[in-house]
Amino acid sequence: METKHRNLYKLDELSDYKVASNYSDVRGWKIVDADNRTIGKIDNLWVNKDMERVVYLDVKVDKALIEDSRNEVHDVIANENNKELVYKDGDSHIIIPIGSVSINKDTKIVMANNIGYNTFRNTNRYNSVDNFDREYERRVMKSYYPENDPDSVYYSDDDGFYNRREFDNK
Amino acid sequence: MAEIKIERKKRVWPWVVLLLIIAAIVYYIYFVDHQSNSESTIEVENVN
Repeated sequence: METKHRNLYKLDELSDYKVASNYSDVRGWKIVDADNRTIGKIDNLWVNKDMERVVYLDVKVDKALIEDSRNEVHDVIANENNKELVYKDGDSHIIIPIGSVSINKDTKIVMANNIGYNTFRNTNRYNSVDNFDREYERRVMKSYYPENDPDSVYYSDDDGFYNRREFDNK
Repeated sequence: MAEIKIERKKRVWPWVVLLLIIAAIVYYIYFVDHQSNSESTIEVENVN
């Protein structure tokens, strides 16, 4: 499914939209895990146009983390076909749901509070040139929140997918 | 946890066009009209 069909756009693509006043434009900011280990840099913001809010941070993963994941044999995770995750060159981006992070305006650092370095290392990455599909979103969510029961919302194909706390939809 | 909302950018060009129109009207009233009044006055002086 195209991202356009899900009303998902990179904010850079929407020339007539901007981050609303009183909210931080975190593009270019560093993102760390709860132990302050660098995950990468926020390259863009994935927004839902109908909901008029950011749903994912688009993160360019730190080179050290990519190297770590290449040097390790992954556990079989987050893949419905039980195939080992395979990364191609250029797959250097991950998405992080906005409700999973906290923003420090003073230090200009974003922290992923409940997702650890190892989880990011094992999470399926994508190539920023290509768009991702809903299946990729589901794999990522299962990687970040394996304890969550896959309820019906996870299988929603519409904006209902984002009506959950991981997207800060209170 | 974080939340970032987005909003439509406010368009500036309609206000620029409006200001230009107002400026043109002001120019017409104060300068063009004033100029024609001056010419009328001169004609009256010549008749006398």
